[in-house]
Amino acid sequence: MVLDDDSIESEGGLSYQEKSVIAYLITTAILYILYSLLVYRRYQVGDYDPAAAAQFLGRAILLLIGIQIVVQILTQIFLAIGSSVAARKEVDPSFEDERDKLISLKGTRNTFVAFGAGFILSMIALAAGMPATVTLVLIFIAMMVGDLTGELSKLVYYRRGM
Amino acid sequence: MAQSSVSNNIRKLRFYNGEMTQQQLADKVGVTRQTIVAIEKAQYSPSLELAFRIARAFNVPLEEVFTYDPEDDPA
Repeated sequence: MVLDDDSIESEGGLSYQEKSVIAYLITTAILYILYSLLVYRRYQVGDYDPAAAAQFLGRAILLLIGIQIVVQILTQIFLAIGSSVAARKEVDPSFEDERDKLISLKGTRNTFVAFGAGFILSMIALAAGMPATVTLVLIFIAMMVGDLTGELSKLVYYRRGM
Repeated sequence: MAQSSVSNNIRKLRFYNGEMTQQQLADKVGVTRQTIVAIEKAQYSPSLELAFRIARAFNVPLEEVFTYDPEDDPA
């Protein structure tokens, strides 16, 4: 029983949703690593007011969120352009259907679970008498890990099913 | 691979309905082609509403499209 879809299926590769998740993962991971190194370097050379260390970290986190939003918008734009330019049989979906929404929901759940675990860890550090800046750093790391966990789990759900 | 306990005859039904493509079926029931692929591979169990829309697209009862096998149910 040979159907016309078989030729599309045999193109193999990734769906648009999977490419979008992978693009997000790669750009986010690179951004997190580079930004963390930059902030850490500034911290090490003392390029901040020690009396306002918590403020320094707070600003660094807020700036990262803003940069990440811009980077992700640009990534999705370039992905959409690249996808439309590439000569392919298949038209990329222009909407989120029930499966996409369910995968997104499960990914968000996993993000919150990972972030929650990291948050508890930061509270344990605070309760153990560590400085507040350590707590902030742990929350920062928990945010990154949570974000990457959610996106990675979405990729798994798309590839292997739910 | 995560397998659903609900199996289906969608591929066969598409073939017998004028060799309907996955994209055509997806357009008829309002989902993406990737979702139809996932359903056919039993990697995703559609919602009740979507299941009924698929059955209606083929003009057959629900039971002719989907089969539930309790032995495959992990619960």
